[in-house]
Amino acid sequence: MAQPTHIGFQSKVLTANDLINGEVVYLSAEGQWVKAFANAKLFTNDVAANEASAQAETQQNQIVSAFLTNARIGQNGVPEPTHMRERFRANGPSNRFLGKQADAARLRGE
Amino acid sequence: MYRYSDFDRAFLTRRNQQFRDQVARRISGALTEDEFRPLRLMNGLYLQLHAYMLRVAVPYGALNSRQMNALADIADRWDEGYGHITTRQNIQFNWPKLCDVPDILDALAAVDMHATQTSGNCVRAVTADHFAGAAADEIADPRPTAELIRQWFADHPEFAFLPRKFKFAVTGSDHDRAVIKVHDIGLQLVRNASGAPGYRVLIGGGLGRTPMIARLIREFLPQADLLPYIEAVLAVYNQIGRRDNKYKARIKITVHEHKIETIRAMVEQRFLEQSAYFDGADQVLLAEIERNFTPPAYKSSGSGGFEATLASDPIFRSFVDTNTAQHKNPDYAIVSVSLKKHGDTPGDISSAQMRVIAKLAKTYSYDDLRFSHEQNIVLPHVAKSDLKTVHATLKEAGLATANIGLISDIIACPGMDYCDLATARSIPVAQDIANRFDALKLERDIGPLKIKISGCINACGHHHVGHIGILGLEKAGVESYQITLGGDGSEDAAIGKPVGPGFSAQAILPAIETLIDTYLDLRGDPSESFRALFQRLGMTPFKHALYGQEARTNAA
Repeated sequence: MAQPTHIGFQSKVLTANDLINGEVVYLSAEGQWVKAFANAKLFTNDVAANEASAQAETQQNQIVSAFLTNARIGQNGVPEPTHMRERFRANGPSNRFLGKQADAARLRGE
Repeated sequence: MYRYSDFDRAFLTRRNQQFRDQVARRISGALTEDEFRPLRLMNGLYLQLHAYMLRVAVPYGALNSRQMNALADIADRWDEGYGHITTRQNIQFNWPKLCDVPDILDALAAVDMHATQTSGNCVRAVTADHFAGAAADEIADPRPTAELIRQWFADHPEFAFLPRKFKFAVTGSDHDRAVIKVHDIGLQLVRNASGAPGYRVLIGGGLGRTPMIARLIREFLPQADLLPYIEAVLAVYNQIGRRDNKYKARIKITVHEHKIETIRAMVEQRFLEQSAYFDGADQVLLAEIERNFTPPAYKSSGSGGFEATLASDPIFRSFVDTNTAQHKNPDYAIVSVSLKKHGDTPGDISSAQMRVIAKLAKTYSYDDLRFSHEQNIVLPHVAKSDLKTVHATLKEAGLATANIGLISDIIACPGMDYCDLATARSIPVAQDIANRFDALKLERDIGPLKIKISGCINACGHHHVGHIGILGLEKAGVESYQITLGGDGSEDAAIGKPVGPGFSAQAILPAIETLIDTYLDLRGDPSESFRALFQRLGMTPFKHALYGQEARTNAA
C-alpha cells in the first residue's frame, strides 16, 4: 500500500538515467544520484518533490530525463517501486541477468 | 555486395567527427539534452530503460564476414557480448556507454557501416527480401534498387524533416518475403508485357496503432522513373502529411484521409515536374551499383552425395526440410540460421555465434550473409555438397535449431525488458510458447505458423500480420495480452483482428495452446495450415474455444 502523508499525495522518488552510461539512478536523501531504488529519497509531499525535480533540470551534465515516479515503503522498510515498469528499471531485463540485478549480485560476491 | 567509394568513406568520416564533437559537448554540459537528443537520434543512439541503445543500419540486411566480425568485436569490447537483430533487418546493441559511442561508430565506419537514419523523421534504412539474389522465384534482384534508394536519401536535404519516419521495402519476387504491403512505400520489381524492367508501386501501408495495407498507386513504373516518382510521393507527403498530430502523421493516414485517387493525381502531377530535374545520372549510378551485385561464380560440383546424407541422417534431414529454401542454382540452397533456439531470446546472437556465422559465410556462401526481418540470419548461397558441413558447424554453435517458419520461429520486439515505449514484455511470452511446444514435440505436426509479438501498440513485433498476433498492453498495472487472428505478411497481406478480451501473463500460454488444439482438432488433413484453416472457418471456432465455459476463468 502507498504511504501518503499528505492527503491525496502518492509518495514518490525522483529518478533519471546517468548521462554517461545510461544507468537508472535515483536521488538520495543526501542529494546524490544513487543506483539503488532502496536508497532513494521518498518524497511525501508535492512541494519538495517538485523542487527536487526542478533542481534536477540544472544537473544536465550528470543525468538525462529526470522524472518523479510513484513509490512506497516496502516490507524491509525501504522505498520500492509501485509499477512494473519501474520494477524493471530497478532490476534489469527479465530475459538476461544484466544491469542492476547483476551489479547487485557482484557486490554480494556472487 | 555494395562496395563503398572514397566519397562514401569521406562522408562517413566527416559525419563521425561531427558526432564525436557533439558527444564531447554534451558530456561537458555545453549541450543540453534537448539540444543533443535530435543529434544522437540522427546517429541511431536511443536511451532505453536501462541504458543507451545503438541501432546499427544493415541496409537491406546484407553484410559480409568482415562486417559481421566487426559487430562481434563491438559486442565484446563495448557491449555485453551480444547483439539483437530487429524486424528492420538492423542490429541493436543494448548496453553502450555514451562516451564510447564515437569509437563504436568509427569501428563501424572502418568496415563501411553506420548508424545514420535508423531513427528520426527521415527515410529509414531500406529493407528487402532476405533471399535477394538467390531465390529460385526471383524475377530481379531488389538490392541495387534498395542501395540506390539508400544513397539517394542519405542526408537528402528536402526529406530530412518529414512529418514522420518513412520506410521502404523492396522485393523482386511475386512471393513477398519483405512485407512490402505494410511499408510507407513498397516496391515490387516486375517486367511489363514487352519485358522492360520496372516497379509495381504501393504506398500507405503500415502497422502501429492504425494498421493499414498499402494501396497500389502505380501498376507499372519504368525503371528509369524510380527516383523522380518516389521523390514525388515524398514531396506530396512532405507537403500535406499531418504535422499537427504525431499519431496521424504517417503517410498511411495521408492516403486514407485524401483517398488514393487524389494522392495518385497529385503524385503524377509532381512527378512531371520532378522528372525534368533527372538527366539520367541516377541511372548511371544504378548501373554502377548493379555491378556490385553480380551473381557469384557458382561451382558446378553437383550435389556431392547430398541426397544420400539426407536419407541416412534424420537430424540433418529435418534441418534441411525447415531451414533451407530453393536456390536459383539447383546445386545450391539458401540456408536460414534460426536465432530462435527454444527458450532463447528471439533475434539475440552472441559475439561467438557472430564469428561462427561470419566464417561460414566466408567459406561457404561467397562472403554474403543477411539479417532477415524475421530476426534470423540467412546464408544465401550454400552448395548442397557443403550443407552437411555447414549444419555440423552450426550445431556446435547452438545455431542449428530446425524451426524456420514453425510455431517457435516467433518475431518478438524487445518489449518492457528493454524498451522505453513498451507497455508489457514480449520476450518471455515468446520463450514460453517456444519451450512449451518443443516439450510437446508438436511443432512439426502443427506446420507453418507465424506468431508475432509486440510489447506495445507501435507494433515493432509485427503482431498485426502474424497468423497469431499477440499485443502486450498494460491493464490496471499488470501485463495483459490481446490475441489477433487472421493476419498475414505475405503477398496476401491482411491485418489480424482481435479475437476477444486480453489474457493475463499467466493465461496467455494456455490461450495459445487452446488455439492450437482447436486448429489440430478442426483441420481437414495435416496439409491444411493454421492460416488456411482460419480462412476456411473464420474466427468463431477459436473464439468459442477461448471464451467458452471452460476458458472463461482464465481470461483476464
